[in-house]
Amino acid sequence: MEDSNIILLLSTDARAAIEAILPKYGAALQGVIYKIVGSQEVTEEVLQDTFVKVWKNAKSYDPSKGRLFTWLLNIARNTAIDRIRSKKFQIHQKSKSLDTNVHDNATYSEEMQVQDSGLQNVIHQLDEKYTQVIDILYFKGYTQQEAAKELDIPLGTVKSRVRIALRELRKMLSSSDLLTFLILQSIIEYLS
Amino acid sequence: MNVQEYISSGILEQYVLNGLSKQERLEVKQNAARYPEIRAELDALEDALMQYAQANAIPLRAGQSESILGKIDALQSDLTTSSLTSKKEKTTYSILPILMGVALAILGGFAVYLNQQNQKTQAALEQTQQALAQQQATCDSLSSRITFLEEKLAVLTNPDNATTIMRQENSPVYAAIHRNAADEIAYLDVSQLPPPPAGKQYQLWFIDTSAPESMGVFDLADAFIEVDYVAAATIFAISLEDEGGSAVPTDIRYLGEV
Repeated sequence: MEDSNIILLLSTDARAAIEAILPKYGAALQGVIYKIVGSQEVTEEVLQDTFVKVWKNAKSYDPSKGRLFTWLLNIARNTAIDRIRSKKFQIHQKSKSLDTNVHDNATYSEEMQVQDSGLQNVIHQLDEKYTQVIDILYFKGYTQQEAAKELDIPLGTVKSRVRIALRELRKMLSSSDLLTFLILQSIIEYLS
Repeated sequence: MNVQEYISSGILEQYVLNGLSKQERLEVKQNAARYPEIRAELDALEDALMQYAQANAIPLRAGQSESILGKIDALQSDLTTSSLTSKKEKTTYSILPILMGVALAILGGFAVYLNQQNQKTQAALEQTQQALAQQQATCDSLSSRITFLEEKLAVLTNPDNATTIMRQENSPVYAAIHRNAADEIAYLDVSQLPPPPAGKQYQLWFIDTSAPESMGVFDLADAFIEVDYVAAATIFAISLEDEGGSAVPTDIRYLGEV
């Protein structure tokens, strides 16, 4: 469903809007939440809480302030950050063994393989130092100053990495390049 | 402003990744509204980030969507059974009956509107027909008037005609008789005469050498009346008599010598 239709539903029938959002953006939001909370179990809970918030605040979405996905991402991010700051989460983390955490990651990375492998291969061409900056700013919602502190690099470096990262990302994802890449990839897969 | 320079300055990348002050964000927003190229660049950057998010997506496991929707349904039914029951129930009704109601109301309104329009059109048609009939009547009367005037004009402009004017002393009012010796026809012009008093009628007379002789009574329905051609007449006169006329003139009003 087009975003414009979902936006219309948000103001008239929030449940129907969520039914349309889930298949379109559910997985992406889950990916963002996972980057923040780092546990499959908690991720699923946070995703559910996120959609409850979307349902409760459906009428407050203002299309003039930004796109639908950005609004959803902000809700998911804030819900995830609230969760990792909560006592419940901190006790949960302490009680978990290192093994289950590793197991968590393994389950997700297997599933991620079946998601959009073409798109992921494109993204994986990006140097980690760039994806790291995008992840912390875009998914975790850090300011650039906070990112500089977190990653222990100068603010100027954060700024220049942001620029390069986005430029590269755009280049990779610009529709024609992406299409060429995906076609090439499927040919290679076919041949092998 | 050089838009290309602005785009390559990196400020838009900082914008989409939360790297600007409130004031700087506002400026970017204003510039995006003013320059379509900047808006397009921002859209492209946001698209790229969205695709990046999609690339990092973790698919929902089987039943996860249903569980989320189930949670929302549970919250919704909690709300409907709470103290605001009646009010909330209303909001949970399907909007279909409301839409149908609205559609019916619109259709009903439209029907009333059409009916009113139809009545207005009917009234206008009747008015137009009446006006047309009036115009037709006017036209007919004008047409007969023109015929009469043409005849009168033909008489008046005929070079063979001789005209005798019958006057009243000290009055501009007159009657006239036009005689055509070649065709032996005569016309009486009474257009100037005032209507006779009730019970009275005008009577036309001619005199040759002896006593006045009647040429008959006439009324003023026509202003121009064809009368007998009398070659011998030397005087014409109009008298006012009792209705039906008189054997001899009793009250001569207009008189003219040939």
